[in-house]
Amino acid sequence: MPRKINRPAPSPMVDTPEVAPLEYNQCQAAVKRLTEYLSDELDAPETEAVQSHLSQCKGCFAKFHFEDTLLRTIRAKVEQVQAPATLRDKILGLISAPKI
Amino acid sequence: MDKTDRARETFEREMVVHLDALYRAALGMTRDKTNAEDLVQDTFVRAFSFYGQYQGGTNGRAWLFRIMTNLYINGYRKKNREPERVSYDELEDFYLYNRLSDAQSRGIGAAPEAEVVNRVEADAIREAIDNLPDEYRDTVILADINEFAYQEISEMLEIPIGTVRSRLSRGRRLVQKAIWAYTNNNQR
Repeated sequence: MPRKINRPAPSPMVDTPEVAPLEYNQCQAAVKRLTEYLSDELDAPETEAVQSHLSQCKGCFAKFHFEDTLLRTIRAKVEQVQAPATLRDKILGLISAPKI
Repeated sequence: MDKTDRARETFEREMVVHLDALYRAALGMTRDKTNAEDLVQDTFVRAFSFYGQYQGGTNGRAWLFRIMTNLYINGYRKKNREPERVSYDELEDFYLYNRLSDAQSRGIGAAPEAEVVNRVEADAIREAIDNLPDEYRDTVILADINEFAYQEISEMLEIPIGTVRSRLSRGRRLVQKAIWAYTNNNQR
């Protein structure tokens, strides 16, 4: 039984399967948006398109999740650094001086 | 309490609270504690003298970062410009993920995510960011560490948004390459 009743007959000139290149293109389209996706810079439809792909593609999901985790780890580790107390005192002293 | 005292008090409450974030960014940009302290100090002094022009209620953190990046690009960087230390080879997407996956499949490591969360040290990250060429380092610090929007970074660094995007993309790959090199040299 055919999956689609009105499916047009494939062109005799095209002998490559349809599914593989489509999947490849979807991965490629998602990866192209990786930088902005991680920065939350995509608009809503584009974010949704990436997320929809990630929900269907295990490989991309693992890689995107890794990139996100890496960014969060980097941020968390860098944020452990604090300004020296002497610098704070110096700045407070400078802005309290009658004229700087 | 006179007007000047009130201004000082508001400045302290609204601006000095961002000191740590500014210091971290300055440290990343200048790669030197003394220069970072000088840069942050100059930023606050300048911010205080222009505080009258700051519109209360707007984004104070972004205002301070704009002052700091301006001082840095036009002063500190010009004085201390160093030759670039990172190669410009094209790097693949998911560089670190691919290396860690490969190591895992050869039985010399855990899953990539666990490796990154548990084993990548703050020193590796610091070194990876420090070794980025200036333009990539600034963008990575502003976007990935301080989470500014591309538009804000574009204004701070006076570069088009497309350049912010491409520098960030490349900068992230270079960070991954450096983390991998550091991890390999120190842990495996």
